[in-house]
Amino acid sequence: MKIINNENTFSILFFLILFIIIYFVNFFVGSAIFERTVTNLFIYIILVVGLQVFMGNSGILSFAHIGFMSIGAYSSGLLSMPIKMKGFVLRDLYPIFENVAFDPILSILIGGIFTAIIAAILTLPLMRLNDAAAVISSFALLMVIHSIVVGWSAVTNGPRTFFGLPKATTLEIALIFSFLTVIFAFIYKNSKFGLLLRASRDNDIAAESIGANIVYLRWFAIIASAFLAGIAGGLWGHFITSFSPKSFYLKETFLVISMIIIGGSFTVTGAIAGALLVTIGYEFLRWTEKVIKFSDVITFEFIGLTEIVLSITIIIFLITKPKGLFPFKEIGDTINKIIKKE
Amino acid sequence: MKLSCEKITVDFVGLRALDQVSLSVKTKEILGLIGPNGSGKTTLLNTIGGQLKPTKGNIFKDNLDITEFTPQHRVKNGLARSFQIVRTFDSLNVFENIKSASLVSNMNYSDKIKFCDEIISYLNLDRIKHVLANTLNYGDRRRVEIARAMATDPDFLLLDEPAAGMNDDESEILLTMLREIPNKFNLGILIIDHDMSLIMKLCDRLHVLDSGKTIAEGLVDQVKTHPDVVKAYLGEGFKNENA
Ligand SMILES: Nc1ncnc2c1ncn2[C@@H]1O[C@H](COP(=O)(O)OP(=O)(O)O)[C@@H](O)[C@H]1O
Ligand SMILES: [Mg+2]
Repeated sequence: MKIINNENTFSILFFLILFIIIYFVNFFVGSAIFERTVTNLFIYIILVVGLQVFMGNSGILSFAHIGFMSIGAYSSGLLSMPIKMKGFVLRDLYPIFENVAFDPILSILIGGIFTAIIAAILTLPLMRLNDAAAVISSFALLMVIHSIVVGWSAVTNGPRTFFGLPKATTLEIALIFSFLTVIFAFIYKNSKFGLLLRASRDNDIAAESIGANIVYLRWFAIIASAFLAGIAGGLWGHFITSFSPKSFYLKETFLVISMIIIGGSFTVTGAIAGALLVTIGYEFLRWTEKVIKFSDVITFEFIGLTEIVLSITIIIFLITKPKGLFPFKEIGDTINKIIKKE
Repeated sequence: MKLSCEKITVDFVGLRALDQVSLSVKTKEILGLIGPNGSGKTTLLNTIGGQLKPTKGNIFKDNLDITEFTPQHRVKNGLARSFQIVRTFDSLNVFENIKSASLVSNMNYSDKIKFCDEIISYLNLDRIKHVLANTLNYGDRRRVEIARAMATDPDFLLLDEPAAGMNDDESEILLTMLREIPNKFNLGILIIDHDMSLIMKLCDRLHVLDSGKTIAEGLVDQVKTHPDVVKAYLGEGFKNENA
């Protein structure tokens, strides 16, 4: 299967250059707050591009993604947490975990694999479902994962904060994982599996008639997607170093879904653009909220502006540009066309 | 090679859509399946393609009973089809539509691509090779569907009204293309169409259905003058004029 064509190479190169530019902009700005935002952005790109792998190619909206992220965050944290912290944070921890403290990056990778295995087990029966049934069952899956995380105090510290993770995720590490994710997403999309899954997204009956096994194609995609969500969770956990089940629920789910809807779920370019634009918008709104709060223009407490604006933006997009900013064409297709013309 | 249906019966709620229909097609042969609207032609094609399970009866590819096979499994056994209601992959371009179908075949990758290109130029799709399917006109979409079915490298091609929605020139061109396919690609064709002049010119044999029952079968000239066929078609023409 030839998967590296011109268009793909151009897309991947474009994002490599973009990521490097972002990196250097951060370097010259030299502010800790800015660096924090940029690192978060790269983690969100892994998350949204990972979601694109399943949702974009299969056409099925999935709410479970942030649930997978939490599995990656907690499982990698459990492995990497220093031994003396463990006695402190997790009083009822099972003895086998008491004396392990792996390297954080290794823990993040194992967390991703663990998430993929859990996804493989949980999602196979769901892969037959279409449309509303598929969406609702993915939502149910998010609730199941959330409930388990809240309830399983021995390894998660329950609804309380899970803290004491080593701060291992740097901007550079987030950038590298992010770029590898982008390469994977492009290769997958143009592989045999990606092409057949996209065919089934457009017309399931016709896809079966050319030999596509839709259940397995979707299953493979959601396993890969969950792996990436798990990695993103692990990276985020080792960046923020303390979190609770609340960090992985409806608000965050809505955020990634809005990123992919605004950018366009059919394309990797769209997923990245969505993550970028929503992050910029989010930071701008947060700043506005703060300015309003301290300026005494409005005397009552002004919270939730960000959520309102994000919700309205999504509604506007769903009405006017339901397939997002990049509905079908990747950035590389456009570059290829421009180059050919000259 | 031979594809055969034996005594296929299909019951829908309150309706027997097919009643003990048997037919067979051989390699390099073109069999026309005709009959008035609602006579069960598409239903028969769906049972052969695996989109629908027959209530009774069996389908054989040579001596292999494929009645219980899934559609995916049937493609691997050499059956490919197009649909009466077009089902192109609309967000993929023409080449990707066809390439996706070639993935099941046993060829190696570069042969697959060569084969796709051969089909594309045979069906005159070169000009629109990189165009998204959702921007194509009806006639082009129908040819993309035929090309897609052919890309699976089938032994039998099942076509459900491939000329529907085409103008006279387009269907004339399609006719010439279809005529040569069995020999050029070494396969058999089972084709449904309501355009009688196209069917008469194209097919070696005809099989006529009316209300789910076989009313005639045989060589084109024999069937054309068969009293039941004349009656069924006059009846339909009469109905259409009053509609
Ligand atoms: N899925 C279905 N459920 C119920 N009735 C059906 C279904 N599909 C077809 N029919 C009925 O079966 C009969 C045969 O339909 P069809 O095979 O589409 O006819 P044709 O292709 O010859 O025009 C028609 O009366 C049609 O209404
Ligand atoms: Mg029909």
